[in-house]
Amino acid sequence: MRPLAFLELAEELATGDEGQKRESVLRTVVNRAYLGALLEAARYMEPVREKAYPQNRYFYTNVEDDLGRHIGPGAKDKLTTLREYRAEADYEITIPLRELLPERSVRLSREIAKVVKEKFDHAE
Amino acid sequence: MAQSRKLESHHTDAGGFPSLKVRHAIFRGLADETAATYALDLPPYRGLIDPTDLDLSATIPNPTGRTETWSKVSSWFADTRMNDLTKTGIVQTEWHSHWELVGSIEAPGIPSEWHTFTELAGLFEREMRPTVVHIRFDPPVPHSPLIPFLKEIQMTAANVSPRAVELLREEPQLAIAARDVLVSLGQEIRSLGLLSPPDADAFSDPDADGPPIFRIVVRAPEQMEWEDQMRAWDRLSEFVSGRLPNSDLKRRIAVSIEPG
Repeated sequence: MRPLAFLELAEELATGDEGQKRESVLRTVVNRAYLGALLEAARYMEPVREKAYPQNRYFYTNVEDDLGRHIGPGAKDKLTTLREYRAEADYEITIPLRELLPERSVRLSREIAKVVKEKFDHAE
Repeated sequence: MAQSRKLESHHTDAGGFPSLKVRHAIFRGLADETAATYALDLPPYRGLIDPTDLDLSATIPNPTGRTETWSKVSSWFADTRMNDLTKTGIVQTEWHSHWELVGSIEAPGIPSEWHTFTELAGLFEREMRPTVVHIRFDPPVPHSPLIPFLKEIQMTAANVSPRAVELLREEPQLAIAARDVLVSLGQEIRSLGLLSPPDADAFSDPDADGPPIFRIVVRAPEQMEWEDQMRAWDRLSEFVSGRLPNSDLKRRIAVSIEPG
């Protein structure tokens, strides 16, 4: 499956009917938007790594570190911000989800996917 | 309804955390009431107090002169908009002419229940004829080492999230560095054309490696381009990093730019 399918699903859910925008759906938007950007970045960067990404809790920060090296530290911060949104959406369920978070997550994810594609497609 | 109140409070210091003791809070004119809602007005403690740690009881003298203690309360509520903690309870007796609060507050934390005070008061107004009383406590204990730093951070930042307060409470060494950075960051933010003061937040991810991070969130205009955000972030990040004395703090305190 293409990682960007996660982002496309997030976009689809975020732009769905008002009636479908239950909080659980909006939290899913944030989660899928993050995974879309994370996995898309990892897909591009893994071939230029010495080792494959670890499939454990170090995976997330390894991808962020690589993004910082290849694109720039600001891009790394963006992915970290997206991860922060995702942790908030997935775990802080007793606090209402911030209204702008789904839309922001989708936009941020799209930006990350775009800069990674530009960087690595140009390099090929 | 006529009310009078007398409140004396004093502070104790429990393990470096703010601690308040309410000596007397007497409310008169409640003779016909069957319900009472009272709110503790605690702006200096915003985000610092866990409602479950609060313990107050009311003493109610009855017509025979005997004083009964009423401590059966339903729950504590916290209201983000009013910065109040509100305690509600139903007084089961009909004869009381006044009641008195005696109790203490200590061990700050994060409010775990968030309800709106206004909705709560409205509910009681419709059904139970409430009395709503605000009790303002004195400022926090002066010798709690964390409080001055938290106050400076709260004055400098637009918003300080409960997560940030919790992190600083758990790791006070971050508070001094965070204060130093926030105090000096304003001019740098303005020089980038970003006019809003930053927010203070904290971030920990149960799924990923790494310690909790204190995050300074700078708001950028919604229309600011990615490249401009990256340039602004580079400058702010360099500025923040230059003010942190060691690598551990550089790892634990980060700046972020988010669309406003």
